[in-house]
Amino acid sequence: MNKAPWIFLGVLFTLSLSWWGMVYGPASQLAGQSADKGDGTAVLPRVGLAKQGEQVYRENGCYYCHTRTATGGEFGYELRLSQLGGDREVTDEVLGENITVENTRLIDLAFEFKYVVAAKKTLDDANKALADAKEKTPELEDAVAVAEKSLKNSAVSFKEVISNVTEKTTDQNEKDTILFRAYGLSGVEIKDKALMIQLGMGEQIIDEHRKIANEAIIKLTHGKAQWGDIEDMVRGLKTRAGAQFKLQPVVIDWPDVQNGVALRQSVTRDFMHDTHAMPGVMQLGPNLANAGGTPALADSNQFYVHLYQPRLINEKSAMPPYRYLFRKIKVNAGETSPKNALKIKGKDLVAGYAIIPTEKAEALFEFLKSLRTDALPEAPIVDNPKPADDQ
Amino acid sequence: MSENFSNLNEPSEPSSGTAQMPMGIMIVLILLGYIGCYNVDQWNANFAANVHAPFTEPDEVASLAPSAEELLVARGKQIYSKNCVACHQANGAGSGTDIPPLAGSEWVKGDVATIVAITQKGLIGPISVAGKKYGAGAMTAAGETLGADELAAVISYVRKEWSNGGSAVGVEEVNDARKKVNDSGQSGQWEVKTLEAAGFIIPE
Amino acid sequence: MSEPIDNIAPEATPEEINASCRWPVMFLFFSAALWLVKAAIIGVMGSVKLHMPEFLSDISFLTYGHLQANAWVAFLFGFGGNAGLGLTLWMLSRLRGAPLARPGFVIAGTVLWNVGVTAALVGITLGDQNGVAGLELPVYAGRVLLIGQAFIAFSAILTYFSRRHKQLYPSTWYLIGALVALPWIVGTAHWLLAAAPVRGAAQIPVGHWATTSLLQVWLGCLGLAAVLYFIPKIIGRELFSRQWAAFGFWMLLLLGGWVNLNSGSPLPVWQIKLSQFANGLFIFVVIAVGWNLRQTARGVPLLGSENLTLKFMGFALGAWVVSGLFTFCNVFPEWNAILQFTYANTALRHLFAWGFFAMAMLGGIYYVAPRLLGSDLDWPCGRTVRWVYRLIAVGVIIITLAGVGMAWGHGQALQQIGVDAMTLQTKAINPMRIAFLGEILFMVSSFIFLGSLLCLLSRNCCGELSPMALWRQIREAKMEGKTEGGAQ
Repeated sequence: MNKAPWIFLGVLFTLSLSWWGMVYGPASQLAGQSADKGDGTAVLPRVGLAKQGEQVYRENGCYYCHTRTATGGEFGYELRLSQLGGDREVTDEVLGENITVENTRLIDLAFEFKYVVAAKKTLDDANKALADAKEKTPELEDAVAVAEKSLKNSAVSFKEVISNVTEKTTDQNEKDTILFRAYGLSGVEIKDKALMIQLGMGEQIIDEHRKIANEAIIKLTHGKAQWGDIEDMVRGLKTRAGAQFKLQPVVIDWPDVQNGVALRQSVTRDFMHDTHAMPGVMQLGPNLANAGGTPALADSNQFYVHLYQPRLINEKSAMPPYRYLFRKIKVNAGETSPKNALKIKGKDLVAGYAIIPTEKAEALFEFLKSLRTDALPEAPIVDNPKPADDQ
Repeated sequence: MSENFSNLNEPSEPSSGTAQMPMGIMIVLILLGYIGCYNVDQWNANFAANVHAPFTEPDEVASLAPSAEELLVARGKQIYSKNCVACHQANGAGSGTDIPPLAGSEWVKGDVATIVAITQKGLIGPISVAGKKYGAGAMTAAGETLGADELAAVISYVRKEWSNGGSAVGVEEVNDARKKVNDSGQSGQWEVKTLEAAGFIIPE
Repeated sequence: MSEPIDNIAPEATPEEINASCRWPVMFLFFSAALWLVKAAIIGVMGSVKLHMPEFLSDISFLTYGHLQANAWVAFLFGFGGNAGLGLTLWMLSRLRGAPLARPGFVIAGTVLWNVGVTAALVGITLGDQNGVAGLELPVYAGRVLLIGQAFIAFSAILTYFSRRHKQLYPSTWYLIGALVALPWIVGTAHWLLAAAPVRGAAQIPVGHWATTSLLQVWLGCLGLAAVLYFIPKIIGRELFSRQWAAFGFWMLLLLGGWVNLNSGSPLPVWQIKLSQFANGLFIFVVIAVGWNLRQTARGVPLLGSENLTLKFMGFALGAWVVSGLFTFCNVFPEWNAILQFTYANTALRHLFAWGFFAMAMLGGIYYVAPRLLGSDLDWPCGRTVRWVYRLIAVGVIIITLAGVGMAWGHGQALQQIGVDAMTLQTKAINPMRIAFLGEILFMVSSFIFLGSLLCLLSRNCCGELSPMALWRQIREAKMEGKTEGGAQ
């Protein structure tokens, strides 16, 4: 390394490696990022005041003390099965040992439901065909007999499964609930009230059956599952078993979500329309990732008072006041202050004066309102069960 | 040992020695580099742009992405809360004896063309919904300004929400229905009678 | 690799080189000292605002955001650029055994450079900072800086290629690295963040690359060049291993731009993973440089030495190693997750900027300035200059220990569920209250340094007419008067 030009070339080359990885790579990858959310709508750019607000946010260096980054946390999965596919064996195989005995029985019951209803339908069709036929042939009568037998077998098997599933249950309502969950899972449409009663459903709740059936979700895992654990199951359910289900991330230890900072982690598309992407340096003040979705911004007057003098809202706040973003106008006796003047408990902030937000303050407010963590395909909202729901 | 080096007398310019780097360090470096590359290879999520921590795999993110129908319904909810919620309420219960409910209504589950006709032109009562009579309320042509996709979204939402259990509606269906409404030549708001007379299916 | 040594002109003597560097390099040093004072004053003002929110709050250009940006730009480009380029020129001349080429270009470049830094400060004050924390430089200022640097680099590169010394000492590599890195980094930032900005989120990695490269590569190369030069030189030994030095150099250039990306950044996982990988490998840079210098200075207590330059360099090396270890720790996402949005990042930047870079530069200036100005090689009021070293050292230790320690508490509070907002705020502000002490020490030491440099200038240039000499004469006259009076 004594040749002067080589050092030059080497430096250029070595620097270009990190440039390639941290500048060229990300920039070219994210340059082509689509705003399309997948449902025909798009991640919209800010317009008007909100766009100007971004400049106010930048100019005043708000990004030093407030981050706009909601970080990820620890989470698990719940696989919520809402409707079974057609093939019982495949379903059993795919679900394997991932589910509880109780859920296995419920799925059995749902399949029995399918079979009994299918048998009933076959019988009805056969009877109808028999009635329609001008010449009643023994073949048709045989077919009816077979269908009748099949229905009978199905119903017997169904009853057995019911008694298995509900063996520990004495309450009729609970039994009904189990039945209707299985009914919802089976995905069959029963119009025949008589059949339902015959199958053991309590008459009094048949009219509400729709509601229970729609909530017939079984949770196949208990929140601790990681993607690696359930990867095969999810693929199998989707491609082979044809079931309908929803994979729902559930919080385990995710401070930003559990503390109500945001509904999910921040992703690149939250920043895609920013003129200057400012994810933040220090979290000295509140995290603003979901500022627009918090109650703090619901009332503009409250926000402006806070911006004008934070210690009017919270005595111990360490945020500097931004009085220079407001105008002070003298209000003569007898006149009322302008509509947008800052009020605290219904009165003007400074007696005899009206404090009015400048356009910059208004722009900042609009900008903050635009910060949200709504669901995106790459960032689904994680379920955050409240402690009360755990019991 | 303490030497006092003085700034006052200047030694000659420094030169560099010939000590070799120990082989052990090289091996450790190669080993660590290998572990690092392996780690990056395991957790790079195929260099996908849409995988963000804490998620780890493109497949995982794809499995989490809501279905087209779910997105349609979610979008419908937003449109509903802008355009419909003032009269029909967020819980779809309607209001008093003037504005019929959408929750549990047989109308919203019924024929799509009828729903499109009503939203397109508006409706003047009386109307019977879920076994009850609703009288004086007059619905405006709330759906007239919506795009076909937006109308499909909001109708899908209403049909599926509140345990209504209806099916989602596609843009094609809405376009067909709109054509039918235009062909009927109706100018003002419908009444149930005129709706029926124009050939739209009225639920029992 | 042996160099053909024929056709090489004879080496210039140190005196010739010093004379050729005298005014251009002193101009750079003096500007650096001035900017250091400004940076320190603004830094203290900004630091006050973090825990006394009502202080000067009605002046829009004195918000923490404006002050913080100004302080950093003044330090980075004002002090860092001037001092770094000054030492670059001197060390290059010395190591190549050639007098400084085209000193006129250096003077012009320094003027432009300082105009650029001034423009940056004015621009930030007026609200033109570009939203990239750590590189708030407004667009137009960046352009002026680049032109200024080009002028100086022209002279530096001519000097570099007019080789008269057969060996290319490792410090030279670092200096060339810094010379190339600066326009590249500032140019990238200017091009991709301002002139034709990349789209939204892509600015985050680009901005991170630019800010972290400026620290690790640009400042890192300048500082390490000085450390690698002065430690062997003063203790009069050869550098332990050229191979280690080369390894450390290339690894630093390779990894400098990748490291320290926050694990919670809203970026695709692969970018964060790669950065973690780089953090892990960074330990080799630390080992390579640290081991090399430790072996070189084996048995010599650098910090305990009587020689102030060695103290400066020893502290700089220590701070760099500690900072490198912190970088390495970011390989563990759990560690980074706690510190990422706390005061720790700022504290570690102070450790790097003041503890390592400023120490190395001040040590270098301390050694070089008297040589440039003439034959009188000790500093006037030499005891006072020691306080520059002591105060910065104490300040850096306070900020690093208290800042990172308390930021750790803040970071853990951020990870708690259901934590009270006021507790969080108290924990966030605590490290800043203590860091404020450090900032004050920095400010005092920057004043002392500027004062000492002025004394040196006046003594060596004005001779008997300098204020110091006059003061000494007056005092001596008084003393004489007193003794005469006492004798009577």
